[in-house]
Amino acid sequence: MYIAGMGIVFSGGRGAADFKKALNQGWEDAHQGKKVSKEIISDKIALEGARRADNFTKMAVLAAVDAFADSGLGAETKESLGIILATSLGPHVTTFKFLDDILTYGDQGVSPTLFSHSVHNAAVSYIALNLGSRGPTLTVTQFADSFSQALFIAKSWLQEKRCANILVGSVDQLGGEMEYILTTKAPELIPIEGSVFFLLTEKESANKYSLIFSNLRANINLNGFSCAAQALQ
Amino acid sequence: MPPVNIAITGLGAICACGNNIKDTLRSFSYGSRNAGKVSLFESELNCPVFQIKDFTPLEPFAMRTLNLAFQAAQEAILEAGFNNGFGNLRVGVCLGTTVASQLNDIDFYRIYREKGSAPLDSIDRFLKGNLAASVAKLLKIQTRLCCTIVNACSSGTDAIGVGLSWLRNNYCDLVIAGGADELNRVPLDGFTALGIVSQSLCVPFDRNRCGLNLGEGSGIVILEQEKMARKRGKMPKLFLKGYGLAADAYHLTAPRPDGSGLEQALKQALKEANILPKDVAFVNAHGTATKDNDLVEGKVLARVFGQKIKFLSTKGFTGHTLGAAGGLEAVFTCLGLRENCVPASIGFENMDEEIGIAPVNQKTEISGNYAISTSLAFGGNNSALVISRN
Repeated sequence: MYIAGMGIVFSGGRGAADFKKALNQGWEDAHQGKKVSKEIISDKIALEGARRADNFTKMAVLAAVDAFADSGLGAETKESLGIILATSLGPHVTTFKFLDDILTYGDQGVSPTLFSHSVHNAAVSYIALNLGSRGPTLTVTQFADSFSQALFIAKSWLQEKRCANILVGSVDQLGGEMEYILTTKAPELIPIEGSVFFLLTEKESANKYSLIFSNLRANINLNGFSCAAQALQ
Repeated sequence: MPPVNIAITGLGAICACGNNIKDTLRSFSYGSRNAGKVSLFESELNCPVFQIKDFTPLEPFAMRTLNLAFQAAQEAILEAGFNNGFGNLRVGVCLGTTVASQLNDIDFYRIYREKGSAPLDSIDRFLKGNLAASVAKLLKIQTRLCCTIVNACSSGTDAIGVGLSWLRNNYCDLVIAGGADELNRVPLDGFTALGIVSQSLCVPFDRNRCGLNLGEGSGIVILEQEKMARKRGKMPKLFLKGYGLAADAYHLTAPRPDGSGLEQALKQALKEANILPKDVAFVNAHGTATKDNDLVEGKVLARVFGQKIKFLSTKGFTGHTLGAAGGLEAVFTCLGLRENCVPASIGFENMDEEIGIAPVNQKTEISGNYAISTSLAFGGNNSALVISRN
């Protein structure tokens, strides 16, 4: 599978150029904290239709839209585009807000909008809506192995010709509750948030960055950021 | 890619109809609807739900969803003949869910909200509870192909579809696929807030339908490359022939009114199976009993298959089991082909002229060798499976 386009949203900015700059400066120096600021995800044009969405979805939509734009593929390819999103923890910030509603207002006083956005595949729905994609869409979750599993499926879909081009990405958000859980359970862990998307194709001529190997025999859990860093080197 | 026949060699099910396939078929035959007020958790809501009774979890400290999946998987594995493990076969596990993927731990959050910290014991159930990984671990399967699909209400169908892709691409020899979900306060409150929960027993495709009932369960199939099944002496009678999925790109919670996403998924599945709509004996429809779903789905079924298509919704027996629905309904579709008949689309009484076609209202014999199971999901995902018998 070749990488024809890439989109990145992270605490140091948005786009491959920002990410490369951050890598060159040293990741720790470059990012201004673990979280993606509101300014980074305040693109009203790119987020058209996702006004009510949470930051989990906004990060994913921006990275996906950027990856498609970066690929240079024509608008005519959007309709049959496949989309696979990997997430370790899903939109848990919205889930906790929904739990807050239950505790505060009771079973009959909760927000339907919070509920519909707490479902894992809400982000893919917004990506499909934003790009006008009517192709196959999938969301997978396998904790640290989520992105690798998404790549396995992407490769099988391309080989079966279920779609010719496919957006494969990962997104995770860092809320206060989850940061407490993760850092208590694993103090050595430095959780961060962000999203990375790749436009993958089997057409060698569309290759812009490099080849992604999704090797079943390699017992390595890939993640979106490490893939992007390797592709940019 | 050369064609590869994918056999279905084992089925397992647990739902409010029964804790196994035999009991489920009996409930179908008697028209039993085992619904009542939820007792698994406290709730101010009085709507009926399809809760599984008399269920003893094998792993009492694990999530209920995992235990449901494990029970159904064990039944499927036994039927497939893997009583003594899988030997050297390359096994994949692909399961769909909604509840098991979310940290819906109200007790943890209540304490955290009050104190800014909370005991994390219960969180382990979530952090160590990834559905596919946990089932693989319980079954002592070591594999790189282990994936949990979270496509909302089509998760189970899509997990089976992913399993089909893995096998066609020769990633593995065998896949344990399907879906599982438990009744949980979060979706019950959420669906109620969306205004799509019925206060009485659901009546899919009926003119007077007024919403869904939630349920719980698990449906699992064992998928194998046919040549591998035959090699170990199994003579497969059921096959997974096609899978289609397509996005609506329309709305987060409402289906596209023209149904073109579902139509595209159906046509893709038929094309993969290399059959025509007239070859389809029956459709096990998604049929949630919400106004929008049944209107869109019914009109698409009429458009694609014609006015005389035999179709049903089994949600009148099971409730809407969310991530389990696609798995359970794939199993029910297999049972229809195996038993040569489908149960009544229970609850249906009144034809909805706007839909234009009616589901079967009694136990119905079927002829033909192909059947379809459909799923429509939050987020506008539409999925379809084509299953055949030889």
